[in-house]
Amino acid sequence: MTDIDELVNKYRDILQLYLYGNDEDQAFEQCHTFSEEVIEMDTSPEEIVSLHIDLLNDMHIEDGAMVKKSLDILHEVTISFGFTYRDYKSMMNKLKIHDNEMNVASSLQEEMLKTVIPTFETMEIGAISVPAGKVSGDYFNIIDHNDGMLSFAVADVIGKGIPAALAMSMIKFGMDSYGYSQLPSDSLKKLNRVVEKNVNQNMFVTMFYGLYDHNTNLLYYSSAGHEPGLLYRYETDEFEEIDAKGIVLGVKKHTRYEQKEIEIGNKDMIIVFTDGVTELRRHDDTFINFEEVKDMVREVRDYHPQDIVQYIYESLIRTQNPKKKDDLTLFILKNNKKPEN
Amino acid sequence: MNIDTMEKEQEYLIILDGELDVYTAPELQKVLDPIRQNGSHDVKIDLTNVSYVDSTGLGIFVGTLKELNQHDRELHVTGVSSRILRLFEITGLRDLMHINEKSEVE
Repeated sequence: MTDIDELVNKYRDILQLYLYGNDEDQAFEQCHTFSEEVIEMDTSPEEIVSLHIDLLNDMHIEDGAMVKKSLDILHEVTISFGFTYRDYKSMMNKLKIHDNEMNVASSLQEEMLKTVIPTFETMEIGAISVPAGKVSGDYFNIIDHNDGMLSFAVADVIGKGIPAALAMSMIKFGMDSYGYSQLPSDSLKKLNRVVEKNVNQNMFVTMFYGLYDHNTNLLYYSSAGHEPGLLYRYETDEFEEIDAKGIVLGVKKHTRYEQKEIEIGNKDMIIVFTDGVTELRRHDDTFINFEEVKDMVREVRDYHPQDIVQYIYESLIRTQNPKKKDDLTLFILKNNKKPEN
Repeated sequence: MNIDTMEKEQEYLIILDGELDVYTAPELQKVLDPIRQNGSHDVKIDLTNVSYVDSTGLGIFVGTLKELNQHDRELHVTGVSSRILRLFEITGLRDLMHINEKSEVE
């Protein structure tokens, strides 16, 4: 016997007991257990009404007074649905309030984390950061120290929800408040301590941190487990990988970050990105060949970096499998200082 | 993703099959949660039949490592392909857990 047959029989017994038996209270009591069972089975109220009609036919109940009396049972059974429905309504209301608060929080965060891209005579900067969903795990920050030095960071926060959002804000305020032109290795060491305090076990942050001195054309850089960046040499049309050893932020309490320096020639470009670029999945689910991205850079190397990042982003989303989207961030700094004669 | 768990004397061997990413990571998390919290065994996760691990997947290794270390237990990752090994190397996690290219799957 199926569950449905069992329910039909139970309902029939209740009607029988109420209409022809002599214990109405017992019938009502059985109604309560019955309605608990049907709700458990995800039966809808309209299915109960159909059941009632079917049984009236089946049991040949045609007399008006008896049909009217039978409705007491239907009423009793559907009361529980009313309770469930009210619970559901009140939960939906709470959820709505919660959703609204989350929306306020996320737009507040978006506003707080906004990075203004500064403009200079001696260098050009372009950056794009597009989240896959509503909230991004990627983040970039650029700080002009107004003394010929510029700090920049590209980060990927792994972990979801409020802990990740808080970590991102902590990183921004950490970066903004650590004095002038601090060296990348020191900055990462401090940021690691900030992120490490976070309670979420699975959470960590990868970050590429650069300090560019455009008086000397030197780039100082460190990496906390981030994708290696690229340096595009304009004169030779070649790419060099820029990478430094260091563990992701938030995993080990005491750790050091290697720092390297490299000279940037005229029209050379520093290119930093997140794994949304390197691990991009094509429509057929295969990974993108990173050489293609390099070729795109070559194609448009004479553009302003903002146009270059836009061009690459648009080319990438065309090949991307929309079901396997990831946050994607691309940062390019081009040295635009005319060589001294 | 398919997850096979075997309890041995001192360790749990967990064999994964498929892709470990933002979509499948919660399944592995569910299996690991009681083992991590209990902390009575080392954990060995085999990736021989895993073609792809994303950063959310890496997050599970990070969380497991942290929690196991609190119980003086160790995390081993075996059967790591070159693509996945690169991920452990870039993130510096290779120095914190026992990563082995050798497979545990017979």
